[in-house]
Amino acid sequence: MSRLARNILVLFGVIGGPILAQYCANRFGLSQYAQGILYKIALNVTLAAGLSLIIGFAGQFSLGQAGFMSVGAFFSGLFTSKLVLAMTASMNPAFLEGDTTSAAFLRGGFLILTMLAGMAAAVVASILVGLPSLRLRGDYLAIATLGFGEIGYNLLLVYFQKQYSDTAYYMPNEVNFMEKTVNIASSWTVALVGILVVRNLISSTAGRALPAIREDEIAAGAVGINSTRYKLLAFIIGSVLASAAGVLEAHQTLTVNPANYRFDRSIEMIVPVVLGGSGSLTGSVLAAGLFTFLLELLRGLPSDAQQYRTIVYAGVLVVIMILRPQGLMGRYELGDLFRYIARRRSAGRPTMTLPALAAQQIIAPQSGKLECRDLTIRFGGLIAVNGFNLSLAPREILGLIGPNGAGKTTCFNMITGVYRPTSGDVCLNDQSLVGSKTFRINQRGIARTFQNIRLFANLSVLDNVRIALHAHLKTGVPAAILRTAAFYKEEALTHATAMHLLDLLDLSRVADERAGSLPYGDQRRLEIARALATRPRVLCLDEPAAGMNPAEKRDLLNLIAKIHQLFQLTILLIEHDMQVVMGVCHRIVVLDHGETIAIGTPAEIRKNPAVIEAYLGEPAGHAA
Amino acid sequence: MRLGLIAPIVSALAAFIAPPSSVFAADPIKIGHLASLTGSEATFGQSTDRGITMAAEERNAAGGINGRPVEIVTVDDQSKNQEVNNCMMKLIQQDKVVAILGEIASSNTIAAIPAAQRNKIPLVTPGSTNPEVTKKGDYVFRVCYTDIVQGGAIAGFAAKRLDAKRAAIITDQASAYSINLSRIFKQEFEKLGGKVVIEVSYKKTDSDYNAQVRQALGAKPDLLVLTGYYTNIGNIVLTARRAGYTGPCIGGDGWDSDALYQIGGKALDNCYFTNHYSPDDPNPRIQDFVKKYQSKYGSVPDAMAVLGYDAALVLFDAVARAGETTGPKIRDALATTKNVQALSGSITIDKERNAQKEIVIVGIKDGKRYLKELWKN
Repeated sequence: MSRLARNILVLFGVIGGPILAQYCANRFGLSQYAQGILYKIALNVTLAAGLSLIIGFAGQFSLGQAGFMSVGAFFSGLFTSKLVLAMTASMNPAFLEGDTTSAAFLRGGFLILTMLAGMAAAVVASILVGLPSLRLRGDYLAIATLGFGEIGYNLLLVYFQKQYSDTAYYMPNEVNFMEKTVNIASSWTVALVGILVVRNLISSTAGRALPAIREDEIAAGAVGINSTRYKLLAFIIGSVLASAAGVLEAHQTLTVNPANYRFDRSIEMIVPVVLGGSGSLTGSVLAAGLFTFLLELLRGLPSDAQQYRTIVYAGVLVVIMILRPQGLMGRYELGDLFRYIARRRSAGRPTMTLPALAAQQIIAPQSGKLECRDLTIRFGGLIAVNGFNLSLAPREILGLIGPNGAGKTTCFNMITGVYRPTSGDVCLNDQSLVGSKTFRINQRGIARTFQNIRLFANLSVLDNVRIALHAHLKTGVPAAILRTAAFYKEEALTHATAMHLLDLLDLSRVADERAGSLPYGDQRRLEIARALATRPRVLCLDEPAAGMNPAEKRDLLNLIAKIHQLFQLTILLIEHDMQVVMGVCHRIVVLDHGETIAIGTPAEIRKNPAVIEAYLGEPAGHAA
Repeated sequence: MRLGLIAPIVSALAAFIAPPSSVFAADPIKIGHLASLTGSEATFGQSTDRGITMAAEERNAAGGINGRPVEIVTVDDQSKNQEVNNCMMKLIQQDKVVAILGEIASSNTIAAIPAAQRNKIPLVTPGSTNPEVTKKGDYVFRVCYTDIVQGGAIAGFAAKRLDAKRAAIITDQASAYSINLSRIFKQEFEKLGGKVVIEVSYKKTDSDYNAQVRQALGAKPDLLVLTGYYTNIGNIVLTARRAGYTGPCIGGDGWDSDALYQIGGKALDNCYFTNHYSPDDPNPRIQDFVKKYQSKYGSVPDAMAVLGYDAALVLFDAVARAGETTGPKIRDALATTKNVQALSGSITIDKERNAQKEIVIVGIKDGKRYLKELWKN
């Protein structure tokens, strides 16, 4: 099937499907109670899809999500009570309430308008909340979002008290017809659009930036991902979905009651996400649907047993979490099953090879000149690095050595923007990098590896490399969500490029493995592959030989030589191991206690008395 | 789990869910009860459920409605607005009830109205005092008084019986109920020639009221009006007495709790509040109810239990008069309810579908409540 036909089919399914379902429900007399349950499932599925993006994929634990429901509820409630009321003032109430097709479409149009109002408000609110709070991580973020949720609740409460002398807002009776718009058609359209947007985003190269941030935000920055931007994006999309659910709920109850959108509601929303598998959209959505349905079934119990309904529910949650702490689906998606089947069927068939031109592009020589001038950094009273000077010519391999604590990694961190130097300058091809963010410095052409490996451990080997190609994408998030032709083309190219790089580093055989499960040597190579995927001019390797056995070290030496030859780039190498440094570097800089004590060729350094003293702790004369 | 284990559980559950075998040959009349059995307002729903259950049992013991037994189907909305619609739909479509009793919290009752209106099923609320409720649809009725009526009664009693001229109002600023009651009191009190000399407010979570009380007493009032809830009220009265104030204090049904007397003790003497009923009322119907309730549930019935019972009485009366058990007929019968002898007074439904009845004014003496009088605005 062609891509276009598929897109059209999906679009029809998402919008036409629920409308058809509604038609059938009415035609075959499905009870309003059953329809009410289906609406409820759609509502909770929408919330789960949005929250799964924020918590499961971006790894940002938000406890204020119900607040965005109230934003949607409030602004759409206001829109409906004022503008829809004004628009329908001259219309016949019997017509508006009626069951004619034209009335249904008119009401649907009003719902779309009022939902747009609610969602627009949620975009603004999520930016206002997200910008300051997404700087925080983990528990701090959770508490901050909790705080914002309470602020929202109290703001609404005070407003309603001043305005209506009440703790909730009740829409005027004249817009009661809007209650009819909350049905299977509208709620499932919202749910399916929500699922589709989230799915399309997370299964694209641009969207994979999100799990990368979840896995390791520093490493994500080092491969050119603007984590603030992506976290905010996930936050906005999740919040807009929550607000859409809030709009539906407000029009179903014809009430905006801030008490419905407090902390306990946010927790209620998080439960299915964690339970279904917090890194799995499929799991979160299925759990949301399933549990809504089960809770509804328990409603049939007699009144004295109903009080135990929530206890039964809570008990089931506890049992599931004990038996399967990673959630029902773990990190697996429905798509993984299809891919598994497809792979078994296509085993043995050749996969797409990279077009020759693109293959050339990856290794197109683009080396750079890196200079550090008087680089100094103080941490309080401690001068970690003092007046560090360095000049790397294009295509040079320079080793930076020194005893533990000499300041080598600190120099790296200043070059790559993790630390901002107290004084001095870092220039790439004569342009200063000081003050730029890590991801920006990577995009300018400096890639790095880490002393203690920082892979995206829970992602596949292939994804680790694909994510690093991220900064060079021409199609962005909108194309990924809309699945344009250009997106598919680029996605295929990205896949082939990543496989090509893995091939070069002899990793393609493990492309589908989880990165964290690779043997140590492979992890080191994968980190280098990931750094190369960002197409750097300068590659900074932080102790790549650490923890390797002699055979692995020999392989590493060959690998560095091979990369240098293939990619023609500048390499800055921090290393303890003399065998590696002496074997591969053109020049060596020796650092001790933050000061440069020697610069020269390997042969010169070997004989330098200051270096010998720094390493052996005694003057050269005594050592001999 | 093996199938062998599931089968007996399923059959046990089925037996549990199946309606109890009845002594009546005729089909039961099913009446729904929408209640907060769990969640933040759980005590409300549990109380109304007890009152309604007692009313149904008494009615069935006396032969049911027109020879048919009454069956109450209760559904829990967890005190959440968003659960209400499905609860209503279950009662109406799965259980096929002819009318529904509920809710207490006004926002839950309002959330139930669209479903009631759409399916033409009457909804009788035992205790939603928000004036908006009965304006939302012509199938909605109420057996309690609104805050407007209650505020008017407080003002009338204060002006006419206590001869108050200068009132100081102390309001709970986080409660819509308190804000509204204060507003209505002021309006009605001034109409009767009184003067509100000062208005101060506190938050529910405050524990020290010295500042507010001093400020209020500084205006030399001859009446303190406290429109909040019992925990705060008890402490405010204590503070006022310590500051030397000996005049009367007055408030609404938010005062009604045994905890009030534990907190305030004798400081509460010369205090009055409006309520739905008084367990001290010598009326034999009330004494009989209190005794039966106590032996069945082990506690003195609160106002919600009484209102639940009364709502059921009003509804049973209407169903009996309606002729047939269809929503519209029952609705019409409800609208013409006249002088139903209920526990909280003799109930007549007015044009706005609200109950017209006396308001109970409770007085406190020696740290104990007594029935002061039955008030009619």
